[in-house]
Amino acid sequence: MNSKLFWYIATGAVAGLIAGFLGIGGGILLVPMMVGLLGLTQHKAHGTSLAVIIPIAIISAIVYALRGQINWTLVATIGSGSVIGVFIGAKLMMKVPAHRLRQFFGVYTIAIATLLLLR
Amino acid sequence: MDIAIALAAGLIAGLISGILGVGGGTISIPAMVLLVGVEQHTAQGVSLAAMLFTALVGAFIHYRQGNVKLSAVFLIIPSAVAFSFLGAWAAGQVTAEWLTRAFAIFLLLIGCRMLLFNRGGQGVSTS
Repeated sequence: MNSKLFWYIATGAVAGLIAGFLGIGGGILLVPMMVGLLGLTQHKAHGTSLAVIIPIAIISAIVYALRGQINWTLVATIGSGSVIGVFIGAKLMMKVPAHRLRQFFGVYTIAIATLLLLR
Repeated sequence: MDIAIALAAGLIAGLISGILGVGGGTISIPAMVLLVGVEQHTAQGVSLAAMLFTALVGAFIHYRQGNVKLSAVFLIIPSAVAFSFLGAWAAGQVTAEWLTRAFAIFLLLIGCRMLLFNRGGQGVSTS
């Protein structure tokens, strides 16, 4: 098989599997894989991963919905909060030092992971 | 009260994903589980359904700026769709306790990666 094609399939497989299993978008895996394995620029990877997340989110959400594991009130509140947040965040993107925020985010995820494991 | 927490979690998740490109589910899922007391599977289902809105808006904005490589999208989508179906099915086969543990370990790895490979410039990844 064409090796380039293999990496595209592998990227979709790994990101899709984790996204469906853990309920995240998969962008946290898609972007670094697109940059590192597929040679996309950071900006293109960012936009392209969002487009790939659309079908991933639809298929996975349907599977969860069929099991009755979706609370639509929460979807509406979290969804509307996120859309407003994304617009503000996109405007702030150039003003906030990404490096600092990433440090904060790293500490945050480790703290939350510990809380979840100790629960 | 729960609605206020959910709205705040959504706002913060959106803000961080707008700036860094990460943080959709990684923020909203723990907020639902730890603060609102939602069961892990349902928190993940909500995260996926809510993410659809931000991904649609985000993809549209990036597409207009010429930052969506359509050929890559079409090459990745078949395996992404098939394996996300598999992953979503597999999540239904494990208990909430084990799913929370798996989620926490994934967060731990992501956090370490963020701190160890923190390059300058803009966002590392998305949602």
